[in-house]
Amino acid sequence: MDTIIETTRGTVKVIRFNKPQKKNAIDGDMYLRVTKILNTAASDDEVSMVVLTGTGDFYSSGNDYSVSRPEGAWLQILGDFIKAFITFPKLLIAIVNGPAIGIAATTLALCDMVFASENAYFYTPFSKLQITAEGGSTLTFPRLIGQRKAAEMLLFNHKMTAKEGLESGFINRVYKPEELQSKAWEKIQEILKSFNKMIPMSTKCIRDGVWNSDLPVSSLVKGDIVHIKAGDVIPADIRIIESKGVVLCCGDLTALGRVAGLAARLQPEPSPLAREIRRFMRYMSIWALSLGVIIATASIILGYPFIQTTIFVIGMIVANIPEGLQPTITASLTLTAQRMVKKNCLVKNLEAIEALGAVTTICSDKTGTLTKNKMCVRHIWIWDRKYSVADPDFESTLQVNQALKAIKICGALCSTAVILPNGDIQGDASETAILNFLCAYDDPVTASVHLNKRLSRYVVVIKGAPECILSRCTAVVMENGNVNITNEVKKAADNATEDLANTGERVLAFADLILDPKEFPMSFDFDTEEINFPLEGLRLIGIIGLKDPPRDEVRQAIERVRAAGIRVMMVTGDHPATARAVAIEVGIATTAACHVITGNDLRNMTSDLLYLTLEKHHEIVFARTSPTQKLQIVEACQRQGSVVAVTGDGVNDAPALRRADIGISMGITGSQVSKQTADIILMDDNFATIVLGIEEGRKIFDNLKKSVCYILISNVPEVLPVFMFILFSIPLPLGVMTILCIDLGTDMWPAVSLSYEKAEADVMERPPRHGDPLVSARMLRLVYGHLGLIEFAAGMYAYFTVMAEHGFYPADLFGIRERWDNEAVNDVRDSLGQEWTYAERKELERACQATYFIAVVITQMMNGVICKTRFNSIRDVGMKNHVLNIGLLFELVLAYGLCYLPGINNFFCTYPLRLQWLFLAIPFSALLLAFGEFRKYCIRKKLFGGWYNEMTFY
Amino acid sequence: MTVKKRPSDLTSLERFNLYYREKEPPLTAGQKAKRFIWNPKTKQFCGRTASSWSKISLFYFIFYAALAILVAICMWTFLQLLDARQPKWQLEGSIIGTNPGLGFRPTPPEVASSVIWYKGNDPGSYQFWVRELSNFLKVYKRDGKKAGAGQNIHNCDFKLPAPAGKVCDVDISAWGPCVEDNSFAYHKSTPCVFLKLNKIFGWKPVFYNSSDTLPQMMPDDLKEHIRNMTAYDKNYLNMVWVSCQGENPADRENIGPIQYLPYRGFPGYYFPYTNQEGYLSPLVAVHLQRPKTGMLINIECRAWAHNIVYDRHEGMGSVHIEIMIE
Repeated sequence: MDTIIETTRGTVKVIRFNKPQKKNAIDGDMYLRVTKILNTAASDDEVSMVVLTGTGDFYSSGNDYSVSRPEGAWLQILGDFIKAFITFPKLLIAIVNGPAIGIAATTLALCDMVFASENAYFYTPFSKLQITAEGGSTLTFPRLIGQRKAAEMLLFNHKMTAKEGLESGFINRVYKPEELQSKAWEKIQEILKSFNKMIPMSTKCIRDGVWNSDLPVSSLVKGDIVHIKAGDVIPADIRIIESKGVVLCCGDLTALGRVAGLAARLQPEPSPLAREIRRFMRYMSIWALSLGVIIATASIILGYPFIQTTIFVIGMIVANIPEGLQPTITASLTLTAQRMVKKNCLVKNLEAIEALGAVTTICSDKTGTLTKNKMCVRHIWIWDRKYSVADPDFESTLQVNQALKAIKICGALCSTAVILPNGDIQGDASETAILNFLCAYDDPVTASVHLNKRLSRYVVVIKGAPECILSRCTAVVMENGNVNITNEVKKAADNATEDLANTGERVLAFADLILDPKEFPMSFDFDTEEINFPLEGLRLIGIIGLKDPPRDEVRQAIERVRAAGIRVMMVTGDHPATARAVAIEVGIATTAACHVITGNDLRNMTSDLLYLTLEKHHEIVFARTSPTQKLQIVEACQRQGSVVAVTGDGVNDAPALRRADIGISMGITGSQVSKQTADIILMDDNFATIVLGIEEGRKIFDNLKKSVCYILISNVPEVLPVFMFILFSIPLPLGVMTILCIDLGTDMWPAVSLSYEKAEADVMERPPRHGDPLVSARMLRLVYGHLGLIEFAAGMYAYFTVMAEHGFYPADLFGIRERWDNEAVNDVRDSLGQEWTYAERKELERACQATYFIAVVITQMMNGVICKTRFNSIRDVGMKNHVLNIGLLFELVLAYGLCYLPGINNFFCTYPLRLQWLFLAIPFSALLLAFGEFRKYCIRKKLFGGWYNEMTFY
Repeated sequence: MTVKKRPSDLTSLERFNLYYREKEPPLTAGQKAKRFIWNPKTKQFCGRTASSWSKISLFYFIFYAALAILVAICMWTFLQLLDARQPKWQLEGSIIGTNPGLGFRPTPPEVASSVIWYKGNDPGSYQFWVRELSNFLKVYKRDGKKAGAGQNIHNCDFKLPAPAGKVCDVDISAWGPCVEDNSFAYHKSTPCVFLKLNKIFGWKPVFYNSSDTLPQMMPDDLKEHIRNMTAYDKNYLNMVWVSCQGENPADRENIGPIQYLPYRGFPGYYFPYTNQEGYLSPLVAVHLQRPKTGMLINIECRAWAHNIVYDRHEGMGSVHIEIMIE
């Protein structure tokens, strides 16, 4: 039996270890075979990749020791085997159908991709066998799975399961054993497909006078003469000579190469969110540090020891730094990215999704994004009237109308497009559209064949620009016969042409001429180069208007985007008239007088003039632009302070995509380069998806604001106690440890869970947040002036209550600090004459601080509810965010845990409180809710002349 | 509030004006600050007009007033529920607990210090401590001329506890050397230190009811003293006993003989403290009769009763005093 089975599947070479009775252990012979196959495949152009797998339920159990080894040469064989893996230039994929042991596992690390079944494991017990780890594994393993895992495997004989391998990055995918082969091959096919796109195209060229019919594009050099025909991709910068082209530049030196290089050189601006966070953090740090300095000074002046002062300062700084912000941002962005993927929008750069919410200008290209990128016949003009293809009774008209029949025949004959055997149509966009149209109403193939035979004479069919065709026509087809062309008909035809052209349609006129069989017998040799047949006195058949129709949902999407205060500009390489027509049709332009700037205009503009033009005209269409001009437009918009989103699919769009704040590429038509450069990829090429993205992005920012608001509120009741302590000399109402408990414990989850909030009603009805910071003066006012103070009041009330219940009435607490904190004073008298020792006082202080802490937690829970909405009423929104609900519950449970768990409460300086002390903050919670709802009501109704909106609508 | 128009909402004329409006010359930072403080063009002071300022002040006045009223209502309601004469939580229910601390006078002027340090032959040096003690004992001095203050004070005895509504007298005038007229014996380098037991509302000592069941830890001289006293009168068992001794063997030598005045403890008839009008904490004057001079003496005084828990580390049931006489 053959121990190595070598098969070929297309361009894939498959090597299968086939020694199931020995668990596919590899012997010397097998080593030699595999080495040979790999080395042959490396230089075989027919092979694009090699796949390794095994028979049975083992991939391979490593070296086969039972077979006698060819002495001496053994090391050489092993070395060659490993070397073949390392130097293999193509894709190497392993389908690991079962455990891989020893050298089989180490070669996996040398494969490009590994798919494994669930029952596979990886085991390298070299140290058990007392041999050195082989196959370069000491180098490859740490790179793949990290030093620690590698050491565990190579030195300590750890058996890595498939699941673990997946987690540690050792393998790519894990499948169920029964699905492994099918799924893995599915994946391989996918890779092969992407290969085909990557595989360099070939071209036909003449070099040194020798005809090369299949030369790879990458090997073109300057001076080669390439042949191109319609529909071909131009392989290099060429100068056209006759129908051939001489290569002038190739590779990076081509215009396209320069564009790609430009994309690589451009540095994208930091995202608006990153800018915003950095700014916020800077201010917050300054604020926290200056507070720290104030507290430190005060504390030193009051004679606190250095350690105590340090603790105060640390507490202050920790209290003021919003620790929950970063996890909240990450949670928001990740959640949204996941949701967007479901809506066919792949977010490559997480921050881009937020930037999309801040976007003020969208520069959209036309073809494929706004339109379907498919030419269609839209109108047909026949001597007296215009027919719209979209009309419901068009089909019945087609059956009876003589002229329409003629146009069908003419259109079918006069086409450079070909119908492939599988029914696909190949040719340029217009030709394809005409054939497609004909296909929809008739079968053009049979028509063309029959015609030639039946008439047994030649027919000249011609199509082209109407002005050229019309001047050659003397007759026109009417419903039931031909008539001579009159001036009226000509005028009508001109009008129709102009009409159609104005709506952005590409216009083609069709005409024919039946040649006299006597003059042109069947044997007549026609020459289209030097025309030897008449092209005058033609019979005009009709005019066809072609158009790339807008996508169905685009108009509505643009309406929404405009309602959201975002400017949409069209940047296209198309003709100005077409661009304008589409702009009007999709709603980018609301009047026919929209400003159209062509590439030529742009070239003559100074950057200042462009800036001013952008400021002056709101609706602008850029037509006939080049890729670098797209970049120029983006930069001009950015200079205006706009946040710019750019859509694009071609290689030449890459610089603009890179430069834009948000680059959006197309999943279907987009080129690899544009996808790589883009931040977001629209998998369905649909502009409407952008609207969803904008909504999501705005939601993220809103939710971040809510979260920050929530985090900031608890700063107030954390900072003010220290001031109370310093200014009024009362025992410290809130200790540093409890501050940490709030900031790093109870506040954390609710703050993060606010990012799970749904978008609010006004999210798409307001202008983009232009210069609207994450933390505005309004929010600070609300936080520090209103909500925070209510929390502080709740805390102080709780604190004074517990003090009073133990005999220290509020009035007697002021000024007590010096004696209170003096360890030598063993008899501080309360309001009822009782005398407290130092230890008793400190215990009371802890109880009071714990009550204050619980009061803050309870009011913070209410704040969590208030911060759910900025605009809507809680009644309308409801408590549907279960992550937040659980978070609030968690906050409460954690707070109680901190207070009641023995040991924990000692560590955090809290105290097991009496039951009634837990409810002291309830009235303040109620006030918070009432105030919050009142505020939002006023904001919604714009009461008091919009007073609240201006004051506290963050 | 003016709604900021989107560029798309503007008419072309408006956009023209926006675009061609005259650009003001840039201001220096000083000018900017000046304009911020008072802008004569818009009549804005610190960025707001007078009406805006008055509105905002009115708003904050109302808001803070409402908040203050809420706090006041809560506090007031709560205080109404409290008994003005007795604490809501007492003894075990309160954090103060049932273990009264022991305190001493005079207290040193420095924060967190318990050292009494003076020069025996320098009046200026010991004056401070004498004055401190005089101040402390001021409330104990009965002024016969004052009618109201001493009204409910009663001369108690073990057989004559104070009747309801009266409090027992603490007669500091008969405490031998430890009287103000004698400068509390500080000038003789034999200072008096006054001990007091912390007041805890409702706390009653549980006395040792027999001289045979005294705790082992109790110093022998105190045991001896208790036996002597109780042999003479059983009522003396109703006493929270006090003992003072040097903390270390050396201190015990240096401290010399000690005299306790008026008793060697706090008589039971002073308890419980129930916030009576004019209540006076019982005192024990500890007179160091022959302390060694020129060295620091660590003294630990301890109160003895069944329900006084002692823990030197936590400072429970005892007090630490340091004395240095030069």
